[in-house]
Amino acid sequence: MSGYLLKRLLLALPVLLGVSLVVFTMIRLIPGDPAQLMAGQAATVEVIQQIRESLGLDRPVVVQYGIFLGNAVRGNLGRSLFNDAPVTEELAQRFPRTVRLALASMLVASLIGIPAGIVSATRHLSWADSLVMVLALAGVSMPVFWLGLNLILIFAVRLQWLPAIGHETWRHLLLPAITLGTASAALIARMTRSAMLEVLRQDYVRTARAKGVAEPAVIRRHALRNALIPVVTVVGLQLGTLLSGAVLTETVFAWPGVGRLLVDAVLARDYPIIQGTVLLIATTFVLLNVVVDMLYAALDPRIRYE
Amino acid sequence: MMAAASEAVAVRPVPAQSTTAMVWRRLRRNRGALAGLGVLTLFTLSALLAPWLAPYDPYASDLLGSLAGPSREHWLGTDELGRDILSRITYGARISMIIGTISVAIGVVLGVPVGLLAGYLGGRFDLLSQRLIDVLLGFPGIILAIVLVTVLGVGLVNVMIAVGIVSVPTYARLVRGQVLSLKNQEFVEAARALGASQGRIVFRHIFPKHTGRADRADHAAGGQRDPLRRRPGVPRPGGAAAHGGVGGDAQHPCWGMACGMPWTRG
Repeated sequence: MSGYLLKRLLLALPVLLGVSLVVFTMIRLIPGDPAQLMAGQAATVEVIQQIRESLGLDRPVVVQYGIFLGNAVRGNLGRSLFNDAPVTEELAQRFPRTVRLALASMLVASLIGIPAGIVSATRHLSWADSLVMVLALAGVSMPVFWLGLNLILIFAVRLQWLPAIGHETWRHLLLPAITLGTASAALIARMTRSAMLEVLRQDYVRTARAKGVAEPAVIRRHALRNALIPVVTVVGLQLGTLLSGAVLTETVFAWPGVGRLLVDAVLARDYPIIQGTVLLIATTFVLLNVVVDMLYAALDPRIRYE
Repeated sequence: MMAAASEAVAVRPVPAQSTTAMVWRRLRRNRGALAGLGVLTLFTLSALLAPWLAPYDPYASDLLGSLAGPSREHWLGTDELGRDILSRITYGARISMIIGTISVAIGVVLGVPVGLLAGYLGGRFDLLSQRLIDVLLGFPGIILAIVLVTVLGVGLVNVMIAVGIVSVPTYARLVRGQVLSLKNQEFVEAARALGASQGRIVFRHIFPKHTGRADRADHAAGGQRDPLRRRPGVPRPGGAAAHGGVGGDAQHPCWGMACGMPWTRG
């Protein structure tokens, strides 16, 4: 297993290289010239050319990529084309906020979703099951920004229990985490339910009951553990997605995370910021998928990797 | 549509045994699935009959009457250009249903086989194919969408391709995870003992079992399929995503645009 782990971590390098190469080329294919955007509408061709030269954008893309790569391995991701801030600094400031929001949201989602899914499956076709499924449907269907705005309206404006915007304390974290967690909770509940329904019909569950194992232990040890594989997959993917930023939620709650950073950078053609952010997101996904694969093996010892 | 289906069942020679009859019988027992069928029927009818159902021309703007609340003339009010929202939703079913169906199909057709083979074969194929999936996951959908649209041009097909490609990793990872645990079960061992080829084991034994899971658990309501539609950050098929802003033409009515959700649902 440790050999496999080592292989996975080594293979992260070509993945990151691939992602960076694709992003590097692709953003240069998008029409829109950062030099033109910086200089403004009235700028002369000479001025724009000057800016291009000073940013190194006049050189062949291959050369630009080489320079980027050389700097990146030394931990230097360049500077923002617009405010000249080092990309690493910008990311170091924003990524922790995104991590906090993502983890809190997934915590909310798992704490609600998994128990709801279990209840739904163990009381299949009961009123509790219907209730959970209706709520899950609502959770999946609600647009996040709409839910976010409504939560602000209720808990910040009317009741004044929690702050509407900001990102300093845990009280600021609550509303955005619930907003983002709701959709994931709905998804996890549905996933847990369908996986549990399948597992509860298996012979080994009947065996466990027949030999007199208490029902809670049957559910937890015999059924849930086997049902968790697809749930863990979904949680991993959702967490990865949340870690790459949640633009709408960040906008609604004025939460300066990675999502807004990336979208603004794409709109402004801020190449270094885009490259740095994408590299960070890719690293996150690579590591998360390693963790998820290890969890598979921990949940189901029959799963072995070579 | 429901009446038509039950007639179809009635005229079949062996109703109790036919697949259609069985599917219909199961479906009828599940109120949730029936409700879902009803909603889908409604959407389809809305798409097909839009010109007759919509009270107004979805493109006709009336700037003086913009952003009006619901009234007798405009049941759901008007948008910022004074276009009737009910009419735009009715017509919007066309684009949104097509995008939803085709892009999910693209995601499934590409993602499911990769997941099946990676999970079953393991080893080098798993290691390498999953790294390609990692590349796709690490790559923000918004950039892919913008590039596809700028390189290939604005259009429904490109939006569907973008949404489809972005959803491939989710299908592939989910299926792979399931297969990893399914391939050690007795029925696979039995098939192997009988001398079934690898292809046969994967596609005839594991694949139906895997899809059957969602089916049996949720009676076609698709517990398994649901999550795939909903990865925040991934443009939601049929929803906002790729079309608003990125897909280009904000003029055409579609549901995502109406909600003003450009590239993401996070």
